[in-house]
Amino acid sequence: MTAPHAAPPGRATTSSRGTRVLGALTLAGLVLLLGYALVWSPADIVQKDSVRLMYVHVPTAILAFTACFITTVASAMWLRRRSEGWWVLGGAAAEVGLVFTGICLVTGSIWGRPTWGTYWDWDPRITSTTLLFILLVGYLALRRIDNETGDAAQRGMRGAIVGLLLFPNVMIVHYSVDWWRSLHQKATITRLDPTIEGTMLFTLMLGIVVFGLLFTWLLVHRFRVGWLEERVGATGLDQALVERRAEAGVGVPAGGSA
Amino acid sequence: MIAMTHAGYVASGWGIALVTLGAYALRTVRRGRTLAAQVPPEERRWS
Repeated sequence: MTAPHAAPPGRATTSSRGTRVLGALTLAGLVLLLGYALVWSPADIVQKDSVRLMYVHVPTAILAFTACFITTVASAMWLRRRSEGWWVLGGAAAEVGLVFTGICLVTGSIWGRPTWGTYWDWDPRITSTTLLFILLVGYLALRRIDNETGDAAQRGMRGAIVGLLLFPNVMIVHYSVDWWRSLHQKATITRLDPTIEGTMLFTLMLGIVVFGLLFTWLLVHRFRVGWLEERVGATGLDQALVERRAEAGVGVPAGGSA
Repeated sequence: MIAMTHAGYVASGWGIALVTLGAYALRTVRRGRTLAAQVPPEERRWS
């Protein structure tokens, strides 16, 4: 066991040299991306400038699905190993994924208005993505339910089982445009001959990379926050037990009788 | 930038995305600082 305060204390944050470099790269990338997305890339012949929403909508969708994949893997690993790291990773990825799914839905809705003439439609991909959003909210809520009673094993089991359902739902979102009639177009960039090219393809790829860097930065920080929450929770429980024992000790009269 | 069409939609979409992500990043970092102050340095493996 390490002696108390043997390591240099450092600043009490969730950042490290790695995250600071990653953060700087992300900010620089965002500036470049804004230049390409809003100025240097051409407007689409059909969609005109509304196509510029693609450079935020598509990357956030891809990263939302990546987050669900991470949560599903972390849930499976938790069921196998029961280690705290996988538990914290599952929650961190789901929370970041919820933010990206929300942004994907909102930007898609805004893009839908000038493109399809509506903010909302019961389109298979929109509906299944909304279900994914609700599933993520449910997963995160379920992880917190037994916090007060302290039944960590049951809480973990419930959370992990819902976590396993996330990525299969992503597959439904992905294939929904093939299985049902949809306003969304079929695969555009995941095929060998992408249907967009030139500066537009480059900007979309740049968007995926830059939002990917931001996603990674957020995930690392959120993982560390989760790790600290577990430490603080454990310390709080130990402290409460010590206090209870002390109270019980005080309640017993010295010598055993009055 | 010359007379962008759908400028309101583009600005709203990008604005909401960047403000949401910025606010979430700020909240996460602040939450981390508050929690990190309650935990001994040896428990913060990254620092």
